[in-house]
Amino acid sequence: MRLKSGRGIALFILCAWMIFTIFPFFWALLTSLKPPVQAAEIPPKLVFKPDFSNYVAVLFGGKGGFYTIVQEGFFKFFLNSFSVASLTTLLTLLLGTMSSYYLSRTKIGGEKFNLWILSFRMMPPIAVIIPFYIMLSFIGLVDSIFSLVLIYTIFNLPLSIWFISAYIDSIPESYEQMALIDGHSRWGVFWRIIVPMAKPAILISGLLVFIFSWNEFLFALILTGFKSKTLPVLATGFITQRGIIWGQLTATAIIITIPIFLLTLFTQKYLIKGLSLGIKN
Amino acid sequence: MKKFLIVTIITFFIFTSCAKKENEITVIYFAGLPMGQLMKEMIPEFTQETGIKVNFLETPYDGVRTKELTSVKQNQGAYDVMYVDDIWMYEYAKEGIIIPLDQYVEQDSAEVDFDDFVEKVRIAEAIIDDTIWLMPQRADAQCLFYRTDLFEDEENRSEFLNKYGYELKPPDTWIEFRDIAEFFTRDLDDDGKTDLYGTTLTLKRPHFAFEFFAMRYWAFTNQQFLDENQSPIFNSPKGQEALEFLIGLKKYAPLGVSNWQHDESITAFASGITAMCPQWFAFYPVFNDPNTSNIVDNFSVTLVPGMNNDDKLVRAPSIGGGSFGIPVDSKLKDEAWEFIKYMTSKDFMKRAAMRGAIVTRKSSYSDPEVLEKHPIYSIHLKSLEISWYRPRLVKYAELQEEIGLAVSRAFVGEMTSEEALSIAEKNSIEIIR
Amino acid sequence: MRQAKNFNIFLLPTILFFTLFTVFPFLYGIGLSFTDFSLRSEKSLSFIGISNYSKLLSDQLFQIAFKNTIIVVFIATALEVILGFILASILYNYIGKLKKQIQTLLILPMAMAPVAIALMWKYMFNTTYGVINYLIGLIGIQSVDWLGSSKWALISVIIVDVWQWTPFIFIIILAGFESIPHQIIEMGMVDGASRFQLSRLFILPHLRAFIIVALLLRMIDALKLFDKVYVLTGGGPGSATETLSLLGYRLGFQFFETGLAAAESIILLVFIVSLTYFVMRMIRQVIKKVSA
Repeated sequence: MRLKSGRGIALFILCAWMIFTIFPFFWALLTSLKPPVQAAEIPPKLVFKPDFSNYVAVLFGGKGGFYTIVQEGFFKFFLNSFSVASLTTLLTLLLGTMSSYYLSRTKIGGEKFNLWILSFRMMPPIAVIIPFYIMLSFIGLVDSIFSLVLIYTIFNLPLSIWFISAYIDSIPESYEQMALIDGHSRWGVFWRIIVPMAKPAILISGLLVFIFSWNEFLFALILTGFKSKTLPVLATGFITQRGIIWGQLTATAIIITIPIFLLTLFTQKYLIKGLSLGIKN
Repeated sequence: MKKFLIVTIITFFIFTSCAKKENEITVIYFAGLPMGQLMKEMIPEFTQETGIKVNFLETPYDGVRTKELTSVKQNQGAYDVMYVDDIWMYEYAKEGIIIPLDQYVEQDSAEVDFDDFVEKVRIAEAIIDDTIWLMPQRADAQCLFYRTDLFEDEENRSEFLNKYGYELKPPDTWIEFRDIAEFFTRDLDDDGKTDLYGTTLTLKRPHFAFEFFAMRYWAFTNQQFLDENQSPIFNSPKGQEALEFLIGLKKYAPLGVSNWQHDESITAFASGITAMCPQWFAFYPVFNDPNTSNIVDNFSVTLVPGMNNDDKLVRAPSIGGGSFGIPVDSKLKDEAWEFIKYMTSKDFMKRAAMRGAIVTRKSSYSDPEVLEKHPIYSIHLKSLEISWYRPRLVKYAELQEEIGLAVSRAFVGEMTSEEALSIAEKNSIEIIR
Repeated sequence: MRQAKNFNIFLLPTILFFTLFTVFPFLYGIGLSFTDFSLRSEKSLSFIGISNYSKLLSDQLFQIAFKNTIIVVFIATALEVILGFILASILYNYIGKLKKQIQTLLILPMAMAPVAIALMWKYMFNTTYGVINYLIGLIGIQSVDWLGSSKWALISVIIVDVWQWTPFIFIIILAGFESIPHQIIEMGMVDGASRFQLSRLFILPHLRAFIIVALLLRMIDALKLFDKVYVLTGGGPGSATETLSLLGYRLGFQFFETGLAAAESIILLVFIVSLTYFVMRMIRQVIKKVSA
């Protein structure tokens, strides 16, 4: 159903917006490929010979000069980010799907329930972070990735439950009834029937949770130390008192974005389908 | 299956709550400092000599104080050696974050030679009321960088003399500074756009605004921001005059200075678009490096301008730097002290000075080798000797925020200097109470 | 009955989790907000009633932060919803080939870490070596002080927000478009209805849910605005970009006034909740009017 009229304007708007969207990425990429000193040149150069020293410096450390600080241990932080994101996603999906199943089948909910879920999202991070911080230091979990996993799970559970339970609502109960009558336990039904059928919703929630945990900054800034630092915090480490090391910073930004970009690419079709189903309910 | 999971999880927990290794001290230091680079190189030597291992944690400046305070206040005991910015010294001492170091200094007095530290540095970065709290390692002072080629150009000189009635030279007073800034703000190629500016300004909230206002405020008023009873006295006629003066410089500086941090102002001067640059001396190597500077052979350094107060020229560069302290909850205090001694020793200082870092010992500044390599250090030493330190109170962070906010607001015209300073004064009284 | 008990286990861990890690800290936070607890001070805390709240609400900077937060949220969210809708409808109605690829490109900003985005824009907005001023200079426009002038600072924050979050709205609304059953459209066309009539009677009402969800989610997130302002301007110049979250962060983590920070965040929470409620009611009324 393509429209004919207004096509010109529509395409123009689309193109303009696409340029607007892509340009910052393009510029960041360009900057990361410049030799470190050129990043702050006046006026900015558009044509130059590509230089990968920024990436080398970020990934492998390197010698420090006055304009090149060295943040060591990139791979450790990459691992931290990855661990946090994966663990959060696993935990959220596990708890989320379990609760969704329960909530969907026992029909608790409706409008009020949705609002309650939404209200969790409304919580300003600052409100919980201080008591949370105090609690964590009590248990001794401050500079640990588990603290991030805990708090990210809390933030993502409501939305995941929302999506997944909406999807489960659309799965007819007949399959479970049959299985239960046959003597299977709820747990078995859960794993063998519900989870496979709810895959799209689970996948999407998983994707969104992973992206959130991967990119999150405020909590990571406050709650992590040196052992558990994640990539976004690493990026801000290039803001030194002397100045901002743009070359390495943009390189870091690009490196951080690539995994998510790939992930989004592969799961795109599920994204739209799942969103539409989730929101209809 | 479940049992296995539980065991794994518990093991994980134990793993992450790492027990501190024996004889390993944890040092927290500002990231991105050349001296940090040197320290990292010398740590293996230190470990070999003393057998003490070092976990050296470079942290971005903005997070250091938060981490240090929380570590002590939450009894985390995360650090054995803390790097302390001089503006936090008072807070740390009074709130019981660090221990006094008098005993250590006395026991090793020959090696430490405490009097070898520049006097002003001792006052600003180490001592409160006769108690030694910190060991100073870095001492920076504000100075004035300027373009020798522009100042020495014959045409400029005669034009300036004609216009202003006195010789063009690096300014002694802020008034002269303004004249020169005005003179050099010009459109070089007649395209309607200014290509050269008189000066840089560095005024992002809050501490940049504060420190660059302070150098003018002190010169204009010859007073601190607070009096002996810690009451704010900065909302005085001269104080407002100082702020107005700063605002008046806006037209001689490039666009955007109200959001500038160090890096923008350094880049501006290094790329040649401003004639002068009041900044911290520590940035000298940037201007001297052909990789980062277009003006390598065309600049020099002098003391910051001052104001005439009672027939005396009062120059007021701010002092700033870092020192080492030992937190109260460290379990390896003696080892920490060994580290501190090593990294503030005469030998270390000399090596650092040779590299162009801003050291704290008189012996380094008068060392012939150092002077030969960096003759410009004599200016820096002089700046240190006449420097002022920023207000000393526990709630320094709040005060800096208030005054920085006032300066920023007045600068962009959100309100008048008088209004801005009055609000800051009112809030400061609240804060200090 | 054994079945019922087994089933409860599904919900239990989540409830436990929430209570321990949300409800408890939240209540603790509320408690703190009535004290003068300061994390760095030696003295012990004491209850001071609502004086934290009154101090904050009467503080001039707080009021400015409040105003700024509202301005940014309203303008940014409105722009994002409008743009997101336009883009989604363009993609749905006009694009055949390359649809998938264009979609991917358009949601790219969502893949990037908010803090990295803020840093990128800070770099581009720079007045001396930033590329934006360079480009507009090429076409003869004078350099703009994006982050350093009271006039433009807030606008720059809005620009970055719009760049970053329009894709989010876009994809939700696109999902809405995609979920319109084809039959309805076909039936309508067969009946000779014009595109315009179809839109009004079927498409828009169907999209309603999607637009509302997008709007609410975006608005709630926007009110917690922190990353961008922290990186781009630090609240300046003057108090032009001071926001409520920034204020809370400063109180809690630079001044260590934990009691005050807790109170500030509670105020923010109350504000978010009431605003959401208010907006939802307004939407409901608008819907009633339109359906009539």
